[in-house]
Amino acid sequence: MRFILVTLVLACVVFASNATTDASFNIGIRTETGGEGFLDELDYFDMEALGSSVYCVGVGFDGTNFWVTDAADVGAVGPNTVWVISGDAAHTVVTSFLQFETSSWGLRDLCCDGTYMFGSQDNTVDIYDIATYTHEGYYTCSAVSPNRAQAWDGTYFYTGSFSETIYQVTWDGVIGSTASYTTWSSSILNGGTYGAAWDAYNDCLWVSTASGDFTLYQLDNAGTLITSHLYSIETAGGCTMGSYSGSADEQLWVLEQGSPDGVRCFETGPLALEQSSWGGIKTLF
Amino acid sequence: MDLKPEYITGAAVILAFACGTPSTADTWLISIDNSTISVAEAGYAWVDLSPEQREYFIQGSDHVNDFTLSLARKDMIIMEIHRLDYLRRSDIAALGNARIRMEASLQVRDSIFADAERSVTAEDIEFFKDHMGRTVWYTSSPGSSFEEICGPSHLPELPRELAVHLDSMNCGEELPLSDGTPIRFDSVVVTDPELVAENLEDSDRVTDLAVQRFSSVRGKADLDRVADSLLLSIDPNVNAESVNHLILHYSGLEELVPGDSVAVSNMGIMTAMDIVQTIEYQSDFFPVKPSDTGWLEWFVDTTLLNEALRQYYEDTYPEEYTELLTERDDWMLGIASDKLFEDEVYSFISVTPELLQNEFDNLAEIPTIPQTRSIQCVNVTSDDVEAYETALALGIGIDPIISRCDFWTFLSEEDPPSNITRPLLREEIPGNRGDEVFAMQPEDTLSWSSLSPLYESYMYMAFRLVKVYPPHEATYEELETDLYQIVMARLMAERTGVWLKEMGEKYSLAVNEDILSTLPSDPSSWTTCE
Repeated sequence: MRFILVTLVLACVVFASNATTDASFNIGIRTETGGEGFLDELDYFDMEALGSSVYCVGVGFDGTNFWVTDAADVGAVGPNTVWVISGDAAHTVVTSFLQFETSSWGLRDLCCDGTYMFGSQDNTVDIYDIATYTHEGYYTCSAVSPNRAQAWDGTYFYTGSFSETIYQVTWDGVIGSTASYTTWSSSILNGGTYGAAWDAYNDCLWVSTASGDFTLYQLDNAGTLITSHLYSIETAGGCTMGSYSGSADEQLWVLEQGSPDGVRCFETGPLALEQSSWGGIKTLF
Repeated sequence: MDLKPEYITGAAVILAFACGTPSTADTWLISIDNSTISVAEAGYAWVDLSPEQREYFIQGSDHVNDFTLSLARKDMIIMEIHRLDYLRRSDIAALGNARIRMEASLQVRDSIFADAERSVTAEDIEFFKDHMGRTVWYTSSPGSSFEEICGPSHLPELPRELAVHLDSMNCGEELPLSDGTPIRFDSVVVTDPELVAENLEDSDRVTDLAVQRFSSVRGKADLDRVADSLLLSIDPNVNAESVNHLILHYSGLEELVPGDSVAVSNMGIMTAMDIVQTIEYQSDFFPVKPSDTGWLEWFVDTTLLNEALRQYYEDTYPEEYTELLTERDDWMLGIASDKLFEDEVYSFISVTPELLQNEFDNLAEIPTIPQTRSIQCVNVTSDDVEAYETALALGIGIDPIISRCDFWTFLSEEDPPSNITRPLLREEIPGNRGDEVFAMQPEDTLSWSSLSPLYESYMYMAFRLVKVYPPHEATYEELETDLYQIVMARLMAERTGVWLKEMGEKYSLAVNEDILSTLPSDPSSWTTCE
């Protein structure tokens, strides 16, 4: 029997195939003294490659799949559509269906309460069944028109539209009723409110904006601005919390109104242990 | 004829052939410092890997060898971590505390919401159905210093006593709750009863809605109650001056004072180092902004609350907490290995300007940098569109409009940012207007462009050319960042090899290559090799 002492030669063989390409220049710990953390991008899917028009504007998550609103009508390239994209890493088209009686930009941002998906093109908020993709009705909310941004925290909805104001909306659950609302926050400094997502894990509201300044806002549970963050999206559409394949916890997904339109996932919650550096050895930790 | 014995014999022969000798599973595969890992143990280690971890090795050219060697080295590094007592280092221990604090507080939150869902009764659902569609506004303790104006709130989702209380009152009426708190019923909006009745026909939907709403509202209330109670009991005092020192530290204006007391409570002192390490931990999965006063104050408060919730979880669920500690300890080994790598590899590497220049001088081919152009970009609001287009058509009066527009500064490379972008490639020009910008005459630096919508009809962009940078052979300065990456990667690979060799000798690391070469390619089967 031959006993082989591990040698530099073997080390080089392994690292030639692994470590030199996988070694992170910043080992696991990303915050340096004086530095700021940046929103790390985890995932992305290109809506246009999946068949959408170039007019995607909003995104929601139904617990399994993403729903993306496509305003094809505004470019006269087709009817307004909702694309249902699988939430797994493959991000394939599950189905698509026509928006119920919308025109021009149609439904903007979306949010889900576990049973229904909500989106708006005017001062009503349309309600779609997430199991059947059917339009179940609407509720009226005159806070803004359209009720562009859509988020839900388990009790209240949040909306806003191209201004600094975010409204908290109380809906009694009766399809067809009129919801009440209050001004909840006036903290969106760039006035470009387009999407909103309630982050239960961090107990905050993320607000995506279409102001072309790469800025995402984070409000606390009372509507006070915690801070704004720079990230990679220049002009955002809607946003949502949704699962990411590497984690049981939800992360932030933001629709990018770009070239192409797509949906980007940003890390806002804990992932499985990070296996980020120095090849096979770290992979085993 | 009974074929069964032949079948078994044949299978056994195949199995023995596949796995080497009959005793293969128990044969040592790895030897480190007088201890060994058998073939079967290595197989179980493989089975325990996540699919992603296994995939990492499978996609390599020799996954059996790579996995075995990595497993050996991992154990060796763990020995070194323990030998150097890395887990007790203050920075690593603080990271461990940050993790257990976060994980335990999450468990508390999950437990509270799960309990809230379980608490919903049939009677609750009936109450919801009976009062669905009533949205109320009310004032608690009107006229006093504790006055709180509340609403709009969906009546059945309010705490039961309050809901019943309001339901029994008329608008404008003021009556005390059982604890004496006066409540004034301000107003109510009632949804059309016929609409409510229509909705109630779908009993399953309304039941689900009721459960979901009660779970959420009660979960939040219970969590708030637990949090308030815990914070009251630990009586935290945040030292604003220390928080300010931390902000200055993160702004690069002050040195960190690790032992500075940021918060004092009945649980002890939370130091600046504790906060720094918690931020470092959270920065792995959350955007942090510690030089921002609002963010840091929020973060300190959240950290104090999470520490209180951790204590609560430890006291309330000791067994589950022990499991969390075990998981935390595994995680800390990973962190410690990173720190060890920093100390043994990174700290030995120095990428000097001479090395970079040498790398540049020895490039086989100097790459060409394509033409770039810098521009000025402005946002034109919909209110100004008509005036802008008129001014553009007439060729006069555009400057006053531009002067009230916001310039795009985030594409500037200057500090502080100017309103001129850095040199941009065609595809980097915003608004899909690269072709237009690159079609402009280089000397045409005064003309403002036509408008193009940024989104919907709310905001438009316009630009003008500032400067054209012709294509050219890359200079050292333009390639410096890339060169740094190349040199750094090479030096890291070299230093890592040297370090692992030294460690291998120190721990007498050996792999039984004879047995390794006979093992099946699927390490899962190593557990059963006889």
